[in-house]
Amino acid sequence: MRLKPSDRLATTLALTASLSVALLVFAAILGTHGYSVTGFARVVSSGFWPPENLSWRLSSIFINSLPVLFPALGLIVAFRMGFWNIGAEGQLLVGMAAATWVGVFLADRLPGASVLPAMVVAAFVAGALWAAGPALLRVWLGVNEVLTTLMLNYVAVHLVNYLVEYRWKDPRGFGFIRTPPLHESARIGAAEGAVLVVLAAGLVYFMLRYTQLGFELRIIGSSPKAARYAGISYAKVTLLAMLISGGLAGLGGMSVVAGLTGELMEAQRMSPGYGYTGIIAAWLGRLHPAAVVAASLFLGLIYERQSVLQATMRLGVGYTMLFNGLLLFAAISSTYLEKRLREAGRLG
Amino acid sequence: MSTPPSPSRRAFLQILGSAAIAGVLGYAAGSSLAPRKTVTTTTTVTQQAGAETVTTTVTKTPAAKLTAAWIYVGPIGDAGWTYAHNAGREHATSVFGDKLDAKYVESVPETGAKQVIQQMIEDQGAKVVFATSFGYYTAIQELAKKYPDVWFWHCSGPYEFFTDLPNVGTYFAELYQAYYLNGLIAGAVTQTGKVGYVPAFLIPEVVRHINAFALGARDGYRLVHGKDKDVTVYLAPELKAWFAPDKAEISARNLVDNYDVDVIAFTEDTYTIPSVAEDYQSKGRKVWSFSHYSDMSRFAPNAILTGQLVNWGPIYEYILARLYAGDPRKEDIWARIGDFMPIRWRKPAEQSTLGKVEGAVYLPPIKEEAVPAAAVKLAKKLYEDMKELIFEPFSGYDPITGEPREIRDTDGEVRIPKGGRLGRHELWSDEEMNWFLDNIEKL
Repeated sequence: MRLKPSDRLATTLALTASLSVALLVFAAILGTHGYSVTGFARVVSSGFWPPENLSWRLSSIFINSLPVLFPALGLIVAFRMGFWNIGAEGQLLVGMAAATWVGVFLADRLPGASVLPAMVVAAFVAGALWAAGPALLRVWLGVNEVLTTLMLNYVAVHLVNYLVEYRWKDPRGFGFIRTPPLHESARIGAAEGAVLVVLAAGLVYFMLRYTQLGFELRIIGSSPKAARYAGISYAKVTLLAMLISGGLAGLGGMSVVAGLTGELMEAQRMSPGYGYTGIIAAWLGRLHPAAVVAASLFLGLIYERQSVLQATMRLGVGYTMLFNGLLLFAAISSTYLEKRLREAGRLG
Repeated sequence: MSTPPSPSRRAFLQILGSAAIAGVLGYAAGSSLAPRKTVTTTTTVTQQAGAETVTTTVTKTPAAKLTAAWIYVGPIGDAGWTYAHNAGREHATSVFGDKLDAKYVESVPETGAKQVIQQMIEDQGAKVVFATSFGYYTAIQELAKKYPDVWFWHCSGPYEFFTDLPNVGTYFAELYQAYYLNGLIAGAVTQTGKVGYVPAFLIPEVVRHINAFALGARDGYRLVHGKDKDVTVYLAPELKAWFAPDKAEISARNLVDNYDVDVIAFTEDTYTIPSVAEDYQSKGRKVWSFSHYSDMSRFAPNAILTGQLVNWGPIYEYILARLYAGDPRKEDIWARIGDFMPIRWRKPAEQSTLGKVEGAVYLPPIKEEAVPAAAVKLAKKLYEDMKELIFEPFSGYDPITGEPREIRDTDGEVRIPKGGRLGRHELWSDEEMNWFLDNIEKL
């Protein structure tokens, strides 16, 4: 689907305008609370400057972006067909649990090189299965997926908490609620992360653009009625799309345990809402894989710089959440603005 | 259902372009940070050990300026645990002035510790890290190997976690003695014979404090009501968080409303429970609580009997002073009443310093108008005895009569034999400190 030049202009204008408003609002809030706006910009840009130790910071930013990046890539697939998967958080959590199970309890018995692939498969399958439920309910009974996916997030929180507290608790942890650490072979760094990102983003891009599934999915997204007349199976496409969407969110969960924490604790400690932030990244990137990757890297930068913002500016965690919220608000309001601009363009 | 947008490659490039422009703007706004320089001198010490010559190389960094990073698990405004650590950090800043760059990051969940600590080291040049939550220990275990030049101080962790790591020390301000004295006051004050405890987690540290409190409550109650009486200690379910004001309030109100409890001790990082007690007091019901880690009387001027306070300042000062002196040392600091006091000789009860700010662990003044005089006097006597570790709560002696006695758990098993005394392993280990005194009722 090619856009007309006026439409492209509308996209750029709308996104630039709403992002600018969001940044201005954030700057105003910082200013009125007595924080320096240039200080904020300086700390955030300190992710890339000075050059000393830059490679450490870049890989740290990259690793921090993964828990948002994978769910966001998955959400593209669901959102493109108009399936409102709000359950990336839950899919991420079960993927995290599955990856932990492999990394802690199976890694000893597997040959070293097969641990990471096994974790990837386990996390993907767990996330996919978690997403399959709402998809089936939708195609069989017409149950609204917004509610089912959202509510399963809370179920996933309790499932993870149950596992870590009653099944997998480290007996040498002095009563502390955490699993034993992941096996050395079950940890990922920036390099392994990069391979996974390229694979996942490539999969989503290729699938959407070159496969029949991708074609059908886009048709359903633009006109469900037309898709039905064309004989496209809504059930099949929905199920496949949600398996991919949930599976990728599951990979996000794996990146948390394998890349960041190295152990599983209670859900509320493991995720500050990566799955929800994935929604922000997906909309900021306008559901285009490469742009979503870029948006996720930006959010990863904010996550990563958060502690420096605190240590140097005394800027609380709440401001980061506020910043993310404003970005989502901008991303969503820009689609409305864009629509109005396009209509205006057509009329004029 | 709206139409999902599907931008073309050019639209996508425009999006990337916008991001790039924003990045360039940020870059332009950013000013470069001054490069850090570390001067290192190496001193070689040669010792004659028998026939062999042992050469030890000690690397000393003259600490003209030292960057230290405090990692906090809660917000500094919690008025409890983190607030007290931050007061300790401020004390260190006041002592070492501009020689110390004392950074801190608050509200760091255990899962985020590794990330934040690495950032403080790699990005902010921290040479010493104070990790102030038990749950950070896995992060320290991993990072201490990765950064052998950085000193890591883990608060509350058993030193066995770090025995193979020469650059990790442990420190803690231990409160079981203070909890015993709190229990003594609680037992003397309670009208219902029922006191309560709200725990964050049932880890050995908290279980130790619960048992100390329950033991003190027993002794305080016997002191006032006769030696055959006992008090019931209702133990609320664990909150499963150090910072949980909402849950703590529900738990405290449940103890008062449904179990007739009128004194509540707790392990939670905020002033919630004292302020709940104050709320009951303002409605005419006598409910009491304690200050925890920092003086909480401003939140509950009427309801606080005493408490357990910690001044981390002297501990941080000591650790940093050794670093400045170029002689950091791996050790396990387990401060109790008397430690870090300029004079730790005990005084007669009448001259007791209970209520004074002293050492690392101390008690706020007892609300004497609400507490029977005999209990105040005994508390002062025992506080003085504790300075020299003469009286130990976890020992098989009755502090009222001086006679040997047995301490049993809820299953009737003897945990402290007559005349016995628990050692470090029994107080620390989760295989040992997993029992509850026989007057405790778990809810």
